[in-house]
Amino acid sequence: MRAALRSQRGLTLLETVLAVALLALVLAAVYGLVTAGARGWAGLVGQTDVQQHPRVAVARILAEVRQSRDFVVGAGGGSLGLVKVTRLAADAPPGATGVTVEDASSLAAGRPLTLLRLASAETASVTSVAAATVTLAAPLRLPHRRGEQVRRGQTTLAAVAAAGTSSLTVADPAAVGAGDAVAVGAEGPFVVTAVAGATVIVTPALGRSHAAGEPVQPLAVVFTLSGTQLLRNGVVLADFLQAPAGRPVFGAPAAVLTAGVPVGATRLCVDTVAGFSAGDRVRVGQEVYGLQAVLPDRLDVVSVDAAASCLVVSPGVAFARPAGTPVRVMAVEVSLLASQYNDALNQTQAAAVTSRAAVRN
Amino acid sequence: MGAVLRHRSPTRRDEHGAALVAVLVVVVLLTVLGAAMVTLALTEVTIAYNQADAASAQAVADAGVARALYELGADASWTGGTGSVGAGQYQVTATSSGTVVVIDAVGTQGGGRRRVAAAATSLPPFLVYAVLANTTATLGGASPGLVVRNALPSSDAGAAHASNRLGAATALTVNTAGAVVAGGLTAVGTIAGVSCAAWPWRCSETFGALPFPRLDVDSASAASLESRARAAVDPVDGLNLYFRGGDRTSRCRSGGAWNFGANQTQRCWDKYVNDRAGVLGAGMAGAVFYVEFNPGEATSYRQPIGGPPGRRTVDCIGWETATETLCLRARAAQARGACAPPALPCGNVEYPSSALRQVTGTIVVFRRGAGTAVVGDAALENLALRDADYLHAAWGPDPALLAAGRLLVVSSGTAAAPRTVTVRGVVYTLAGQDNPDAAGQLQGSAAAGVTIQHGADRVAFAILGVLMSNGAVAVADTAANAGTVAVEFDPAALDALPAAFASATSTRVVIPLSWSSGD
Repeated sequence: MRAALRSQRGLTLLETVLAVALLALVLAAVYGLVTAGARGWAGLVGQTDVQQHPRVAVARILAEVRQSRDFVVGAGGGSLGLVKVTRLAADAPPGATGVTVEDASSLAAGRPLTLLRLASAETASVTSVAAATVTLAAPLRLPHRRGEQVRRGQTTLAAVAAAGTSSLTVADPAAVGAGDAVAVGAEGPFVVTAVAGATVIVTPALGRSHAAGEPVQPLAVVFTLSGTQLLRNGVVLADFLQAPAGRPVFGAPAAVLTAGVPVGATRLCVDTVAGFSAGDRVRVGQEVYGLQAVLPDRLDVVSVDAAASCLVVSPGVAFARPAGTPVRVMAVEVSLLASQYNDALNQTQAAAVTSRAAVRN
Repeated sequence: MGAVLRHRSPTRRDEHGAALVAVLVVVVLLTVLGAAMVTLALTEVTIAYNQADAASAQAVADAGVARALYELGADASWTGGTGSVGAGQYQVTATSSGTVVVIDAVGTQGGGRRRVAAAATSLPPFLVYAVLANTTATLGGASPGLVVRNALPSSDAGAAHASNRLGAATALTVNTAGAVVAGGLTAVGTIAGVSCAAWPWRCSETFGALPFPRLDVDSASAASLESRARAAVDPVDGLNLYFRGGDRTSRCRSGGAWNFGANQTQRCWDKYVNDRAGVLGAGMAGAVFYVEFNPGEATSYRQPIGGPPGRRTVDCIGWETATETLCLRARAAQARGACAPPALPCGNVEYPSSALRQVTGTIVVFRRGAGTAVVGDAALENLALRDADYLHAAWGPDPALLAAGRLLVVSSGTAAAPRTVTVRGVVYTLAGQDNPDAAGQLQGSAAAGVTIQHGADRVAFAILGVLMSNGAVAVADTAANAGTVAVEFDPAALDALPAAFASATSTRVVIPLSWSSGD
């Protein structure tokens, strides 16, 4: 009975104080643990997020670069325009008035398409595009096989286009329409604002002059860094991005011949050799389609003579090339820096991604 | 005891229950937090693994494509297989359509799976040259204006090859003053005119002879060119495409308006071209126009006209004394001299549309002689006389032009306007010898197989495809003017191959055409 009474005694003040103190210590420890965990969590989530933005964006861009046939890098490296290709999904014999392609998204009704097999090319006007089926205005003349490349047709400058002009005279104005993004020679991207007869108005104005005969190519995809947003054909692909310090977003070594070269030349003197290195695969010139496609030379850089600003290449060029002919490494380097303020951490987190891919078509 | 128990419970609750609850709450909180962190960490790890697997699968699929390109180069009949790279596996298939091979590769690693599709042109090693001579070749003369080029993006592609089967001192001669040559040069023997050491493309004087497959021109097989021409039916008039004067199995002696004697094969041809307004092969897939002259038959023929003098001679300009030579006219067939006096019926232009404008299909000139001898030349009338452009294309497995003897192009003078004369396809001449070995490979002919001396001003003459001969090949621009001559390799002319070409070698030169990852 006494024992029972003893057990019913209340806590002494000392016991209570000690218990509360002990509990406070435990709670403080738990709070610290939870807070640290939460901060770590927030930091992890934030860092993952900030890394994912550029990583996903760069992966997407480079996947499209690999699928493309040609590209232009905008002034300052803030934009990239791609000439996309698709492939024939089935054979198309001479006389066929339609073709089936793997992806018709880069083709358009009323515009020409070009089927490519090495040096062979045939251009036809598209009357309609329904899913993967493309109907042509006239029967094909040449045989075409599954796997051949199909691209939207291009036109050429019919007259010299001076630097600073926005007005181009082209050989086939049906190849472009208002709203199209285009490349002029190796410069671009430009936006076509109007087409009147053989005159095509573009914006912005040309940064350099272009000779008659240079290609004017529609660009199926244009990536642009606008503010902190990376846009693909005007649609936001990723946010919170910027160019890393000292690097452009898009970069590809490019130069022009400072002197014409004859057939067989293996030494190409250019206005700059910055960015070129031995082992690079370069293209000299651009493709133009006629009865036969005039293709660019695809050469390997054997060495770089920086003192003379010349590239030694192998093998020789197969076509005589005039001064001003573009010489380009057909690979694009994409560099993006993502930064995002993390409220939980009360600090800015950043991540940079740089990667490179070569065009494979 | 029961009272004690009744009192103990509330006492224990009051004194110890709060701590238990607090501990439980803390434990639950920590468990939830820990589980969430572990889940996130595991998710991140999974994502990382997935990305690594996907990247690996992509690389493995690319490896499958590379394997296919390699295997197809060694064995044209290769259709696919499987393989592994590290921990990844690929499955690749190769499907041919004409000379294009479509390659599909699927790579897998872990949970990653990627598909890569590619296509490539697959050509026998002897069919990657613009000029292929089974004996010797001479490119360029004293005047500039000739271009021989192969711009194919392959180190195996060449501008010219001379197999030098008959062992000449010089196999291949390049006159760089008169010819721009772009591409590799290979030969069995000396290459004169250029230094191999300084040549910017492949250059070899010890390359070895390349196959020169014999085509089935005139056998009894239904697949021979002659049989196909005889069996063909021109939808316009229901007659065949075999031309031989005096032969009742030929359209030339089939009756009605087709009543040409044994000395009028060329006239029969002129009538056919005229009836088709200079456009042959329209509406006929893979048409073969087979011309067989009678032995010793002259190309010039006598043309009957009303009134005296009764007959006039129609020549092939530049080839007036030629025999067994098909004249591919630059202008309408005309009789010698003027059409005078005007009062007479003007019969000197019997066939006003007998100049060729466009041909789709194959023109064969062939007569089998004694032993291995074969006869029949094809001559392009002086190109300066052309009154319109000319385009001859063959997209099927047959050559555009096949001559038992020579291809002759000798031109001079000035065209009235700029003209283009283009043959797009394979030009194949036997130089008078159909002399295969046991393997079906022609052994070379001492005679000339191709003679192109183009001097006509304002005329651009081009062969886009492959120019190949069992005999000697000589191509030159003979006058310094605005006329040009070009022989350029064009893989489109090799969309499909004759069976003899396809089976001549098992190896291939494989050149990638397209690539797609499906991204």
